[in-house]
Order: sequence, then structure tokens, then C-alpha cells
Amino acid sequence: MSVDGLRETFFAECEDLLDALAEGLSALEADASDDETVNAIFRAVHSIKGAAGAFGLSDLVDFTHRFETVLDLVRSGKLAVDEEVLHAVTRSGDCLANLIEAAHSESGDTPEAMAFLMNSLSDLIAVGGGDEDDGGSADFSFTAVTLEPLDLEPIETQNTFEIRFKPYRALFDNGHDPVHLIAALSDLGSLDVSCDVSGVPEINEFDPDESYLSWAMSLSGDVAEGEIRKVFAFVEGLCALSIAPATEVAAGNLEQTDTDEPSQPTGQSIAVGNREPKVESKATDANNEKPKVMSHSLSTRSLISARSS
Amino acid sequence: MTMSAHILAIDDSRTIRELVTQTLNEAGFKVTTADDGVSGVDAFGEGNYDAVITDINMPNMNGFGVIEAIRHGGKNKRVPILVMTTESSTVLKERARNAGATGWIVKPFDDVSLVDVLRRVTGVR
Repeated sequence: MSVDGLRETFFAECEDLLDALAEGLSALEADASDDETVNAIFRAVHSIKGAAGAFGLSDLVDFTHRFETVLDLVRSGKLAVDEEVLHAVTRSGDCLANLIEAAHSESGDTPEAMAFLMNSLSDLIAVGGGDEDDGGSADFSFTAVTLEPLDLEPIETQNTFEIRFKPYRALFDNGHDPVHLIAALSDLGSLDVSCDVSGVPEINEFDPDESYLSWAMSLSGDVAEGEIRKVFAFVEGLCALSIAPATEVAAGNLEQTDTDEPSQPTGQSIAVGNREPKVESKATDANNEKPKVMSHSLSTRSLISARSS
Repeated sequence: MTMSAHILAIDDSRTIRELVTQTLNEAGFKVTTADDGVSGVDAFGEGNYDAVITDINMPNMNGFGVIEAIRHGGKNKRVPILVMTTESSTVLKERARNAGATGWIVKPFDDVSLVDVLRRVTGVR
């Protein structure tokens, strides 16, 4: 579907949401005590805000944001529905319909009442003790995702970082897989990986949900520490992690807070090529088995079996 | 996992559902959508998904309810779950993390960051 098609979907959805909003507002006039009525109004305004942002309709985002902040204060009981509130939300509903129409026709018109209502809504937010700056369009930045502006270091250099990574059980519980993180690191440069399997217990004590492995990695390339941190953005707090320039690294400096002492990696040493998350074994086994090539579907289990084979 | 991954997208906004579907289809993902938390959890039980993207503010069951239902369910409970929200507050992220979310995307998202984050958590290249 084209962008135009998406816009039409958005405006068609807005009509449905405005119907729901109008229905909610008249129900609110009849009976201001029903929580579900306020919830329904809130959701309609909130949905418009969420989708409007996708089309860069900043007037609409700013207005719906302030509108929903007031509704949220009503919803949480911080703002009572008196005549003033009722008047402001009803008029805001009308203004919202006009804003959507202006956006649809691309007229560039701003509804006359908008500036006045923005102030009224602000006043109500102040009365209810809310914070209108929390979550407005100014807050709609992508920096909160993962694509933070990199700490660009202008000089092309060859850096090496030593990375020690021990996932906690919670990392797996939250749906992460260390293999994906390691693969993402390998996109940044040339990566040497060794897995420490010394924490894996005997089979009768083995808990398949527990986290036993840790990794020591060496990443070389034109890479900044910020880029490495970005890879681990979602798992902060779910693992023990240390990242240090190669020269400063001392053995066993993993900020480990639980379980056993970090030991020298005893697992196989694995080289991961730049951009090609191919993992091959460099271990020279006595039985001279050929290097294992593991894709990034490489699992904890396959690492363990590779060790025990 | 190298080829097409199957994504479940749960959002009560039709516009967002279509936007996500279009963006992810172009990047080679297969997408199934659901329009509220309850139907999302039902859909999760019926299919095999490589990742879930869920809105927070939804009727019937909100996004936290979805995460809880999946993480405490019997099936594929360690699936990556991304929370999509208009709110970027730290408190909300912390709550999502504690509920078991894998990561988050702040709406409006750009195509690149959505695909990038999904690839990161699913391992699909």
C-alpha cells in the first residue's frame, strides 16, 4: 500500500474515532461518573495522537497530547468533571474534528479556537497537577529507541575493545538471545569470541532455564565504544557487562555480582568475520574434527555440545 | 533463522497496523495483526511467531497484559516482545522491562529503526 493509501486509512480511522469521541462526550455530559466513558474518550484521542505522529501532523499531535493529558487526569481522579472541564473537553472534541479536517484537506488552516483551547487545557493540567511536557511532540524523538546519535570519532582508527558478557537468567526470560547480540557485534568489526562453559554444572544439576555461559570477546575495527553500548541497550541490567579498550583490560575484571568467580575462558575460541556472522571453531581438538561452522541460530545447547564433543 | 520471520503486531489503531504491516512486508517479514490484547493473545496461541510487537494502550487487554499472558503461557514464552508506545518515559520502559518486554519502539517510528530493532531481536538479517 502506498503512503497515500495509508493516509486515507488514517483519515477513515479518524472518522470512526471521532464518532466514538462524540458518543463518549455526550455520555459524559449525561453521567460524568462512569469510568469507562472517560476511558473510551481517552483511547479515541490517544489513538489519533499515535497515528498522527506517523504522518508528521504536529498540530494534531500537540493538541491531542494536551487533550489526552487532561483526560488522563480525569481518569485518575486528579481532576473532577465540573462545568469548566466539561466545557473544555467538549469544545476540544470539536476543535479536534476541525484539525483533522484541515489536515485531510491539507488546507494549512489552524482552527480559530485552537490557541484558546490549548491554553484552557494547559490551565486544567496545572489544576490537576499534571505535566504537559511529558510525552508531547517535542518528546517524539527516535533517540529513545536504539538509534542514538553515535559518539562519532572523526579519525579513522583501528580500535580494539575487550568485552566481557555474562547474561543473567532474566535476559533469556525477556526474550533476548546472546547469539543475536554477538552477531550484532560482529557487524561492527572483526570479532574474536570465546565462550566460558566452566559454569555449566553436571547434567543432574543442570537447569535448562538457568544461565551458565559467559563470553569474552575482542572486537577490532573502526569502532567507537558508543556503538558497542548501543548493541547492549536493551539488555542493560540483564547481564554483567564490561567494555574496555584492549590496553586497559585486565584479566577477570567482569563486574560480576552473582555466582562464581570469572575464570579464564575454557571454551572454544571462535572467530567471527566482519559482516558475516559465521562462527567457526579454532579449537585444535585431538581428534582433529573439522571446524564447526555455526550460524547465528547457534544456541546455548549447541555450544555446550560442541564443548563436550 | 535467515529467511522470512513471522511477526505478530497488536495495535488497536488500524492505521498503525497497516503502517507496521507495510513497513515489515517491504523488509521481508511476514505479518499477522490483531486489534486488541485479547485477540492478540489468542492469535499468539494459534500461530508460530518469531517476534511480537504490541501497543500498550488498548481496549480489553493492554500491552502489559499481553506480555504477561505470553511470558506465563506454556508456548514459546521467550519470544522477543517489542512494546510500541507514544510514551518515551523511563518509568514506562522500566515497567515494560519488568513485565518481560524485550525492547521498545517509540511511536512514531521510522521504518529503519523498526526494522533494525526487529532484526536485532530476531536475529534475521
